[in-house]
Amino acid sequence: MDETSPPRALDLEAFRALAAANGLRIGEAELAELHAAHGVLAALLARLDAPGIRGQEPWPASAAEAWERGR
Amino acid sequence: MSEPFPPTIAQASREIRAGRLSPVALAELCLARIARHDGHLRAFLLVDAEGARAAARQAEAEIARGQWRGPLHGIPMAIKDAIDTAGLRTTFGSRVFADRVPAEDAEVVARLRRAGAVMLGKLECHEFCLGGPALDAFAPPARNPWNPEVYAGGSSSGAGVAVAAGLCLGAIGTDTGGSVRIPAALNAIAGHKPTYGLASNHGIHPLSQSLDHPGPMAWTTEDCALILAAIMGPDPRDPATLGVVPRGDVASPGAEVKGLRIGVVRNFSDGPDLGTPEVNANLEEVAATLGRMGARVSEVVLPDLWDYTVANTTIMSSEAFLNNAPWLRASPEKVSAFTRGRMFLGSFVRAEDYLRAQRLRRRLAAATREAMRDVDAIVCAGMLAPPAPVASMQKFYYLRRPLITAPFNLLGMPALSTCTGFDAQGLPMAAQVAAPPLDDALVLRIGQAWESATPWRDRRPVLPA
Repeated sequence: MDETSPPRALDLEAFRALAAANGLRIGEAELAELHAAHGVLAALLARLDAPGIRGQEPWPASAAEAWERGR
Repeated sequence: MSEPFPPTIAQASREIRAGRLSPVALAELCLARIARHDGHLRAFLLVDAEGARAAARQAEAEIARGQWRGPLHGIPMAIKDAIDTAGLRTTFGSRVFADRVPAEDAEVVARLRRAGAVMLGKLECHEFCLGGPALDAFAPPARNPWNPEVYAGGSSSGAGVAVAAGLCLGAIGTDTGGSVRIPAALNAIAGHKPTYGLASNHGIHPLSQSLDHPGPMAWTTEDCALILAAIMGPDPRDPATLGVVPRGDVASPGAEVKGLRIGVVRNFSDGPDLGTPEVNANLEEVAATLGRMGARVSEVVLPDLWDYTVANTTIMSSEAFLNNAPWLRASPEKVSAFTRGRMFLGSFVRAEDYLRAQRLRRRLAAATREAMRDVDAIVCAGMLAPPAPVASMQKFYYLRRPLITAPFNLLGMPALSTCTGFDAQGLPMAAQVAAPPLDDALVLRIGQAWESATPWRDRRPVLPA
C-alpha cells in the first residue's frame, strides 16, 4: 500500500459510517458479521501491494489481446 | 420403474438424423424424468412443457422434410435462469425479479433456437449468480443427485443437477469464478468455460462483465463442443465478443492426445490449506493416465493460486455491487442474506484496490504465459475438496480458501471441467484442462480423449424412485 493510502481495515464505527455512505440499509448483527468479513478481505488485499504491480498496464478488453501483446 | 437416462447429444443427434429417434419422444422422455425426479432435485425453476412439445414437433417435421439444421436439432436443453428467454419468466434466482418476463432471448438462446434445440425450461441458479447456497433464497438450492445433503455447486447449480440426472441433454450456464465448472465437477458432468468473448453475454444478467462467460454443460465433452459451436461467434450487442475464430475445429475437436505437451499444475492444489490428499492423488492419476495415452507430460509451476483468487474476488465483488446496487439499496429485504452480505462487501472495495487487481491481472497473464511456454495445455485439479453439507456452509466461506477455477476467468483462458473418478464417499472428482485463449478446440480435444479412455462416463447417479 502507498504511504499516502488510508488503511484498508476499518474499526466498527468507521465501517458503520461507510456503510451508511454507501447507501446500505443493514441491521447491527449483519453489520458486525460484514465487518468481520471485511477484515478478512482487507488482509487478503495486502497481496495487491506486492512490488511491481504499480507499473503494470491495466487489463485490456480482450484476453487474446493481452496474451498476444505479451509475446 | 424409472425411465432410462437419455442418450448423449452426439448419440441422439445421429439417431434423430437417421430417423431412428423421434425428437418428440426424446422431449417426452425428458419431461417424464423431470416429472418423476425434479420434485426431489429442484433443478428446474420453470418447465415449459407445451413450448418444448411444440418445438419438438416442429423439429421432427423439419427433419422429416430433409431440413436438418445440425447436431442440436431436436435436442432437449435447458437454460440457467440468469439468461433471458423470450416469453419465459427469468428471475436471476431472486424474488426481486420474481415476475419478470423478458421480451427477447439472450443471444446464446437465440442461437440455440436457430440450431433447432428444444427448450425445456429454466434452471435454478444462485441469486444473481453469487448468493448460494442460500436456504432463504427465492428458490432453494438444487440437490446434488450423488448425495442430496451436499452442495451441488453453483451458481449454475440447476444446470449441473439437471444434466447429471438426465433431465435434459445439455444446458447453458454462466461462469464468473467457476460457476460452470464447479457444478460440473460436483455433479460429474462436463462443463466448458470458453475463451472470454467467444460467446455473447447479451441478455445475461451481469455479475462482473470482465469475468463473465456463458458456457455449455453436458454429460460429455463431445456434447459441450457441439453446444459451443452453436453459441459462439461475434455479437454487435456485446462489444466484448471477439471478431476472430478460435483455432481448430470446435465442433469436432478430435479425441487424441498423442504427442501433445501437457503441463500438470501441482502447486494449485498441493500445499498447506490447498487440496486434500485424495484430490492430489487423483491429479497424479490423471497425469499418469495422460502419459500412458501418449501425451508428453511435464510439471508447470504457476503463480500462487491466492494471487489469482484475490484479483478475481476484488474485481468481481466491485463489479457485482455496481451491477446490483439499485435493488440492494432499495429493497434489501427481498434479497437473501447470503447474497446481500456478499454483494454489500463489494461496496467497501476501494477504487485503488480494484485498479491494482486489474494490474495484478496483467502481471499474472504474463507470468502464466511464460510458465506455459513449453506446453500446449495444462491440467489441474477441478476442486480442492469434496463438497460440504449444504446446511453447514457459511456466507463468507469463499474468503477462507483459494478458488482453483478463478485463474481461467481472470485470464480469459478456455477451461474445461471433466470427471476423473469418485472419492471414497462416492462423490465425483474432477480435473480442469486449460489452454491459451482461442485454443478451445485443443481443450475439448483433451477432454474428449480423456473421456474416451476412462470409464467415468458409464456411471450415473442412482435417483430415488
